[in-house]
Amino acid sequence: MNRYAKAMKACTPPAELETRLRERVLAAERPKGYVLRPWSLARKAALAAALALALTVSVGAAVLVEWDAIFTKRFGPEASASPVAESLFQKVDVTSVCGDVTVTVREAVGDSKSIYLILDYRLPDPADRAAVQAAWDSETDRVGCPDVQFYATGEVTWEDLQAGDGERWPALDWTNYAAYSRYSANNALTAYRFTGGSGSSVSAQSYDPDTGTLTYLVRFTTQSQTQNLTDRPLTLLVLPPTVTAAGGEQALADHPAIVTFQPGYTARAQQGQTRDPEAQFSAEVILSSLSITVSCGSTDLADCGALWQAVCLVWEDGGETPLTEMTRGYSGSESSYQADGETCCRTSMSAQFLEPQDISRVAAVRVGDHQVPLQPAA
Amino acid sequence: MEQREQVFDRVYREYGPALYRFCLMQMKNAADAEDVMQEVFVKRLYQAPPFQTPEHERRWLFRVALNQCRDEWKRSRRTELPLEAAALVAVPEPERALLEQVAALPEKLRTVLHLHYCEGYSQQEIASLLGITVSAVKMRMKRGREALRSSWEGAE
Repeated sequence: MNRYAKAMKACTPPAELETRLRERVLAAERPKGYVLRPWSLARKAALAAALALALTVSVGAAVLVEWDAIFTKRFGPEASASPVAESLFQKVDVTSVCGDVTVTVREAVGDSKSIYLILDYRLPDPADRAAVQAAWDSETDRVGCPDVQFYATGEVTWEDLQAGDGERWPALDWTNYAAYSRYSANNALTAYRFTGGSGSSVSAQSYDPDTGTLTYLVRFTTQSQTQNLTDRPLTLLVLPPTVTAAGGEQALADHPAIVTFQPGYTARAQQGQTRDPEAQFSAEVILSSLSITVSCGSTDLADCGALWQAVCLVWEDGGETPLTEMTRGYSGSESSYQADGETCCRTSMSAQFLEPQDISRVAAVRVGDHQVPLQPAA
Repeated sequence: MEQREQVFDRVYREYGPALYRFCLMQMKNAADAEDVMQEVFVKRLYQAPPFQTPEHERRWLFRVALNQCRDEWKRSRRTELPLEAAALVAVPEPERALLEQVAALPEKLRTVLHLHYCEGYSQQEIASLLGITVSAVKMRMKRGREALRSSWEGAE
């Protein structure tokens, strides 16, 4: 093979290549020249007005990206100051009065496939606020989180929900998981559910005894291939939270509530698929996590841990960051199936980023020498 | 701090010919190789991270070049073509046949062979550059050599 090196040495670049490249590459970001002309008083005044406007707008923008402390705690203190913060964040402040319960979506951080939001749930007056306060302060008793479901409704009002389901509510035991799960699965909004898989979580953040308001951090992620969270107004169905005290559990309301808002942040999830003779890959990167599935891959990739160690994010500038440097661990599953008489394995792995990522800059996911180019989710 | 012109001159002087040869073997013709090089240099000048060592910079350039070649292949959905004869005018006849045979190998095989035999990268370094295991590099080199041997014997 030394002959190969010798042959390649003879394969020299064209003499004029350096000049051509130099010209094009340096022109790629060369600042445009301008002609200096003396400015009239009118133009100076216009400039002053424009500067004043720009300052006003930038001050406004700075206020807009001042995230709530809950998000700062979740995503890290630098997250709201990162270049990506503005595209992820939305000051929502939409309140819905649902009978005696008031729910407010205060702020959201998200992309087209995942969302985190701060939800305030103001308890109805009949609720036992003393019991809530005692449970909140207790080491043994607890305030339960409400079950929260997400729907791509367009516009559905509290009155619509009441008209559709109101008759069922008095008979429902909101402390009984089986009972409220059946309601979550089948209610007046069911037709608007997100298709494909989804995941969600709710965690209690604070209780304000003065206003009787519980604050939650709610997360929702859809794996739908056809729907985005940003396509249309998003409706949250919020079932009654509960409080556990003295061994008993009681619901803090006797009906669900809904709140609808239009996600207005601009970040979009990135997705991609690729297939080669060795394996099929599908990957998705959202602001908070990466998930990847390898089907019929080599035995090296049949293990979630090996897959986690093999994945790199490829950035627009050509740089790469190993997933292991951006995450603390992973979750996943491995399975096998028969295809064309052969046993294939499927490995799915997902990992949460330590901080939200500017996913618009992620060009591809690389697994070993397999590259999965990413595009903004449809 | 280096000015952009100085960066371009230095990077081209140190890595330009090697990157051109690598891109040529990947893209199979000089025009496409030049397009890829342009992208690589634009990224190097305007978007590159700070480099710890010259070797770090070299490895980054080859990695970006390989990614760019693969993107071009995917984007254009091109089929495997023979190495363009015009790119080999300066290469003597017996060596030209060898280059054509290497260029005809599957991309993964010719990449490891080129990086090892032309660029002098060790198997460990290739594994690190490509993000694969050393055993996978060894396997590809073995398969590549076997494929070349059989095509060489077939040609005789």
